[in-house]
Amino acid sequence: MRFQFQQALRAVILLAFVIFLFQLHNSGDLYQYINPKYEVLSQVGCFLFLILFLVQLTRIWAKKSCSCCSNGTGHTHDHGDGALGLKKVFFYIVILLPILSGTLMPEVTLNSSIAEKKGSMMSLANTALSSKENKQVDPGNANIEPEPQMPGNPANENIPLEHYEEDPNVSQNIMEKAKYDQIMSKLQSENHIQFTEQLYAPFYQEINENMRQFVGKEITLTGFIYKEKDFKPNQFVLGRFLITHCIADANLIGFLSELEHGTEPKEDTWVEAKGRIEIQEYDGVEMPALKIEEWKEIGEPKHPYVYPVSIQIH
Amino acid sequence: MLATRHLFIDIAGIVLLGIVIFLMSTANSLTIFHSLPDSIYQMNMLFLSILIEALPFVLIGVLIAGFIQIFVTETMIEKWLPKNRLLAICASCFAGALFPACECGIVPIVRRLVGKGVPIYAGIGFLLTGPLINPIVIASTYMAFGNNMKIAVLRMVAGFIIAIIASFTLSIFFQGNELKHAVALQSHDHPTKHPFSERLSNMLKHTVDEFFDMGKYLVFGALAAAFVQTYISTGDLVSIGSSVAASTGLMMGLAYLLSLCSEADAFIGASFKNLFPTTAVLGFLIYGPMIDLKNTFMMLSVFRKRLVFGFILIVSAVVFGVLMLIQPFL
Repeated sequence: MRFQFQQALRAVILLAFVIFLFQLHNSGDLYQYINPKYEVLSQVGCFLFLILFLVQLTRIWAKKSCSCCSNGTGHTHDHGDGALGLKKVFFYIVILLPILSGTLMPEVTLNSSIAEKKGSMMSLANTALSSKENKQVDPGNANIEPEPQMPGNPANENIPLEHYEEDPNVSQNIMEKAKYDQIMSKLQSENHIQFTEQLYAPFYQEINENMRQFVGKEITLTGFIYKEKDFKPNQFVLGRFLITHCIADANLIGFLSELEHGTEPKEDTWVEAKGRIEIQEYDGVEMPALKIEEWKEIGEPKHPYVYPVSIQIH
Repeated sequence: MLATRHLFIDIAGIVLLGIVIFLMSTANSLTIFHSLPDSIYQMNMLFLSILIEALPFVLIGVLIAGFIQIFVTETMIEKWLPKNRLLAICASCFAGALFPACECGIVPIVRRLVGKGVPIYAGIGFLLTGPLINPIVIASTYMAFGNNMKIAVLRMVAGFIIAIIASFTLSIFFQGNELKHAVALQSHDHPTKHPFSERLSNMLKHTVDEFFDMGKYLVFGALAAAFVQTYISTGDLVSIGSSVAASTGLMMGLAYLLSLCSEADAFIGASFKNLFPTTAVLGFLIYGPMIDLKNTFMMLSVFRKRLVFGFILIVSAVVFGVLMLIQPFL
């Protein structure tokens, strides 16, 4: 029996992964990396690391690490009992790299520099091109009259939207189909639309798809400021990153915005803004845009990203 | 002499370990890491998110590989797999389509299967369809393209055909098992010798070793993908090409560089659907799950270099060629 240093080192690395993942869950920082919907999967990963750690513990004092390879025909992989050469030290450092960089470097939220690299204006233009009015492929749908707006019915205007604000159920973002359909069908008849974290993506989609029916409506939304090089000084995009799985697949959704007067918000500041929808042309593409009427700076929200809604069918 | 050397290494290792623990516990007081350029932090976040997303899949893949090791014998594979090369490829592509895997988890599984005597071309067929054709990918593609079945179906059908052609082409050039450590796996096939509990514990120990084998490549892959996302502009890339052929090539290149998970790439693919012809978007959707930057590193940990590069070349050519052929009908 001899203390197997490399086996011990491996055990420690496995434990470090367990602790690292556990801390991410525990502190809620995990939401800075992945869609909370996939949290369970990551917990499974954490659990598997724990099992591997426990298994690895038994090898630290073992004479030989793996009895099944003892017939000496050769080894498929490194069992971790050889001498610790420079190359191996390097590989262990590589494996530890995520834990080191994750602990040492501050957590940040993806910002406008990533939005620029991801070609966000291109992606906004693409969504606008999906508009039913732009494509005109589906005459059945295109002919639907804009729903009457019923300005005389205040009950229809204000109450429901207040409702959705509660329970933004960020951890799962699940919504029943009936409720979702009800909200979406009413959307075109609302005069004021409040973007919530839960329904940010469907509202954005809906407004892009039927942009003309939303012209003149007032919307309130939160987001960060992103400016492209060829923007006018009073132009910016107000939006948030939509995360499908992990932040590597982030996609900026939001609106091209223009400020009539007053000082423009600086890039990467988080604001809550109220504006009216109009149609603007950018690079030859007509897209819904916002004429900002008022805005105020807010701090970065606790959950800076938005996620697709999972609709639950009963 | 040897004992002194061991002692020295042990001491050096303990010192290294101490440094790691020290760094982890005093993380917040090390201000030097708080004054780097912001883009480094952004890259670090992307890097970690790719890893956090991929790790559970890799671990599950390694575990499944371990189960194959215990429960599947070479005789079984010999019995199940058709002798005919083309039939074997079709069978393995079909098995991949039924098997819900993702591109991170499938590499260790294929390694184990090939080690058990599955011909390399059949293993590759399985590797190509596994991440591409599964219920989650179909559902997310359907949703991402505005609840439209057309792209999802095209992705699956064209992907399946491409996988068969690519595996067959590969079978012409590669016959051996092409594993990095070729001889080794044969010696493992003695399932009756040990009691079950011992086999299980050996399997778990192997899982640890495979994780360390593959983990470093996964880290390199994630780092490379995060670097691309932080410093290379998608807009500049896609503005180069406008013809169908050029844009298809570019979208395939983009899929390779971004290294997105096949279950999430449909939404990114959809964000190009009106800027590029359907053929180019399909190129993105089919090529990405088959091979990408992160995956290249993982494959290099298992297979010989010449196989990995041959594989990339063949898959790229076949995906591009097939898309160009079907393009007039899209």
